[in-house]
Amino acid sequence: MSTYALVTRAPAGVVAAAVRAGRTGGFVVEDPLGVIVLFDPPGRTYASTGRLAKPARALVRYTGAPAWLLLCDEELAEAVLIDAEGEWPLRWARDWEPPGDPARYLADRQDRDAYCADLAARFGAADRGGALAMVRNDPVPGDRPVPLPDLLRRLCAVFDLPDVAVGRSLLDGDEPGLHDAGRIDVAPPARVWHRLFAGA
Amino acid sequence: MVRASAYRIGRLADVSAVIGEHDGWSRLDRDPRSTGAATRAFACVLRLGSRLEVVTYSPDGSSRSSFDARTLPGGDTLLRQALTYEDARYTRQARLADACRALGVPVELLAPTPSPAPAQARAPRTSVVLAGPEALGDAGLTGQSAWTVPLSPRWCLHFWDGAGRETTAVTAALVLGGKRPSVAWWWSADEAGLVVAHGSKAVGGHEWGGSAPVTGDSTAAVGRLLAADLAVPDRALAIVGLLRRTDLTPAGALASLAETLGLPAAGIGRATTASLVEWATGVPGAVHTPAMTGMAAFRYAMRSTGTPPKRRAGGAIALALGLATGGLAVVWHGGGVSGWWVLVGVLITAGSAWGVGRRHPVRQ
Repeated sequence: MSTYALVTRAPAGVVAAAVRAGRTGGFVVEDPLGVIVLFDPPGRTYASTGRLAKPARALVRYTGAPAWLLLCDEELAEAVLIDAEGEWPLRWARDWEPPGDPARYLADRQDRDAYCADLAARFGAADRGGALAMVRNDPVPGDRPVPLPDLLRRLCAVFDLPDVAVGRSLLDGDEPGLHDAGRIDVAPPARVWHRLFAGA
Repeated sequence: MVRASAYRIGRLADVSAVIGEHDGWSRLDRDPRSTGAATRAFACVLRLGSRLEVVTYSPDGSSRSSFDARTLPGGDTLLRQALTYEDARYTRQARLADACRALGVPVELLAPTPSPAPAQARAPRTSVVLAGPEALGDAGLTGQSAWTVPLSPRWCLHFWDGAGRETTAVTAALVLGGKRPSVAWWWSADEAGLVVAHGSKAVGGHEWGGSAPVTGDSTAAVGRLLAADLAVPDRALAIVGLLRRTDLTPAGALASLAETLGLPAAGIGRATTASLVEWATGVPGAVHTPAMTGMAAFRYAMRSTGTPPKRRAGGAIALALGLATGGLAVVWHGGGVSGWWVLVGVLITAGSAWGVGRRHPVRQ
């Protein structure tokens, strides 16, 4: 079950208006813990993260509030923080093995910790940087590997966002699978062409 | 069962009801109707007495039961089988598992496991870098607001002063590593560690209380490396022994290591960032550098009295070559010289600049 959803703290009305004003429709859900947007899939069968993030970028520009774009398939989970300054991805691979050399492990880990602190500050919750850095899937002897969707749920828990968005996507089907999901279609073009040819 | 994580139930209902969790679903110890309504999630009850009873609740609170229960598309046949099929080989667990599959509930919830603990931030950490005296001039290159304190003719201590964004200790050690090795140290209530850098490469590391992949071989290698780099080869065995100790607190082990290595008393393993700053303000020769990036950091490093004259001269030569190459490019644009001259100028300038910033590895 794939995930392609955006979660934000922007007001639902503003988010709905942003989707309507954009180029990609979808479902908007006003959840008690935030607003979830499930965008319609892009036209092509294969889509990169950049392409999937395109409607999310437009939405963040419109609302002015940072948002997390959650993406997950069988191999990779990705949470992309989108704010006014750009996109900041966090990724977890299914069969991730940390470096076996302690020096490299510690250097990588400190870099990741600092990056997570930066992401948390960008989202406006600087005090959650440490908790975000602990959302990891390093193998632990005797424990089962952490499923990739659970990592995205933990990220939502760190920032107090609706984790029911995880496992939701319109890439696999038309049903949003979320209670009270409202369909938003994009506004028709500004009728420039219509006016242009009407006068002819 | 309810299609909501323990986190969501905790935020919107009563988390004490959760006795297991899997893939965004939770198993409760009570009827899930109210929890499902509060979390706006699908919920269901499976009761297996003499017969199987199934009740499903929609997020709006409405309920359906038995053959009419809400299943996945195409799941009604499987549910009917789970409710009615009679065979001695069709065990109670198999019947329950089929009912779960018909409803879309993960069968893993039949053998519930406790919810994982939510991600918690680690305890506040103090970090310092032990580097050669060149660090007094290069401190601006770390990009953080920091103090650099001379400890001895051989060593300086560099640390973040708590203002603005902190550069990780390992990154700072890699930046400050020059002809002498540099060592990044950090400690907190639950972990402590170090990374040794030669030039711009991390060559050894160790951590107490953390999750670094520490082995017998790695402790032996780091112990020998520290003993050689800090010029105490006769203490190599004691250092390796200390790295392998598990009876000390992580910070205590790090403090003991600093003592064993014969480092000047600077609070490694004991001090906090605030106490280090307070100490630094009273040390003669201590240098405070504000956070700076790019050309500002380069200018600072070139002007600093701590920068060796050789490197300052190298920087001036690189700058002159850059200007000359710029002039050549202007002449080339006007058709005066061949473009190959500009290319040669760029290569020579790049080579010269690389020489300025290059870190020489330590010979052992």
